[in-house]
Amino acid sequence: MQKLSNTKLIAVISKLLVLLLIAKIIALVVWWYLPSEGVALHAKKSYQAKYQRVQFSNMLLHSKAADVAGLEKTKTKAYSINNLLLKGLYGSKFNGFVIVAKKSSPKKTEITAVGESYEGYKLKQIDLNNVTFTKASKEYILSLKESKNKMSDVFTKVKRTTSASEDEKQVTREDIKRYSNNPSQIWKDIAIAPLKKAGKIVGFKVNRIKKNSKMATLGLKKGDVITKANNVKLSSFNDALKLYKNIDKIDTIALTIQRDNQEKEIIYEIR
Amino acid sequence: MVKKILKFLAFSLFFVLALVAFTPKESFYFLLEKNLKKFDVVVSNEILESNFFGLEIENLEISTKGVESATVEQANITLLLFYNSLKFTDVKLSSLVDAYVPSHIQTIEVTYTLFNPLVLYVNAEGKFGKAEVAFNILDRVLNAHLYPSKIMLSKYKKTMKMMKKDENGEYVYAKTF
Repeated sequence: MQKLSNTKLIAVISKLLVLLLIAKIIALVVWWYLPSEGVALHAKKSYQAKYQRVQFSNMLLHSKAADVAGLEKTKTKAYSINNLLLKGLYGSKFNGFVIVAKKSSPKKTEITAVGESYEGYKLKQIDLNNVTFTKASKEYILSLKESKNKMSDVFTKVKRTTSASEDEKQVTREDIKRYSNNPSQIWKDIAIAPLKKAGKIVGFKVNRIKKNSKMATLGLKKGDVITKANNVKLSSFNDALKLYKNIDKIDTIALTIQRDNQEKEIIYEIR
Repeated sequence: MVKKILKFLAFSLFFVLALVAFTPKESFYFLLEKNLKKFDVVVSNEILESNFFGLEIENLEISTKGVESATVEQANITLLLFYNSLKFTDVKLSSLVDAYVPSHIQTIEVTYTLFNPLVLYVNAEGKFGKAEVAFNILDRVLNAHLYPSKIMLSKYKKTMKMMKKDENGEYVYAKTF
């Protein structure tokens, strides 16, 4: 009988196919036991201060209507609130309060908290530069004046304060630059460690402050736990470092700290 | 006899290569990610593409303890069992390290070969200059040689103070883990 093919070649090919099959089976078994998805970090993309600070006393003493005149717009054209001014806001989303006045008497301001009403408008929520009121199931947005002067006007008022309270500190950009150029100096002057509860970071504890250093003049004390910066909870290293990275863009920082079981706020004005 | 040994080696090599080719590389990468998570290292937003003997990863964002630490334009993993390499291209370290080293690293290549199974080699090149690192797995000793750039010598003197000069005038760093 005549050979149709080379049996040696078929034997080799068969062996190779068997090896391929075994390799594939092993790979499938391994694949079955390996994870099907990886790990990703879901971090906030950018740090934004969620509040705007207003010095009430200065505002009432020195305010000029035009300085922080509101610019309003409504989601619906059913009703206009053109006669109202938003002079300041404090808080974020559903916590906090706003300072409002009528255009006809801008010096006569009133403080309205979320959930309270002013001239028939109920304050629903506070955003970065505007607030939302509701009336008759309709929403109205009242904004701070959209101008370059908006922030500087408010902070100019702060600067006019002659007797800053104990909890208000002034920091120069030069100080910040000096520390950012020499970060190791930060850790020489202050030791901060995360404070964890149930495995989660609830704040950053000040363990040491070097005497006679710039850090010692900032109002922080050993044992303080910094829980928030500009109303943003510091619940990870990333939250703290985002503040550090964006410090050049920020004019004011309000640190919420826990001291002797009491919450305290220290405000830094960066000049 | 020699023919049989050669035949066995050839079939073994074929089997190993087939195994490497069929290995679910993406799944192994996910396993690596889960293990890195235990050390608080997370890689995010990466795009994976497996090829015959390796894995190509683009756009890696590496964070440590929740802090964005570095971004890597491209990483190539080559697995041949007897020769394995991991090459990172265009690495940008976080601006937080600006005060210590230049933040841009052109390439970092980690190699492991069965011909020298106890040592892991790392070569890196960037604005800082060049670095050659050997890590002895058994003794857990790291030896690094740094060939610093002019920028490194002039602007990052504090980091250079951590390095020692050997008898040849080369910058060396040694650490035992």
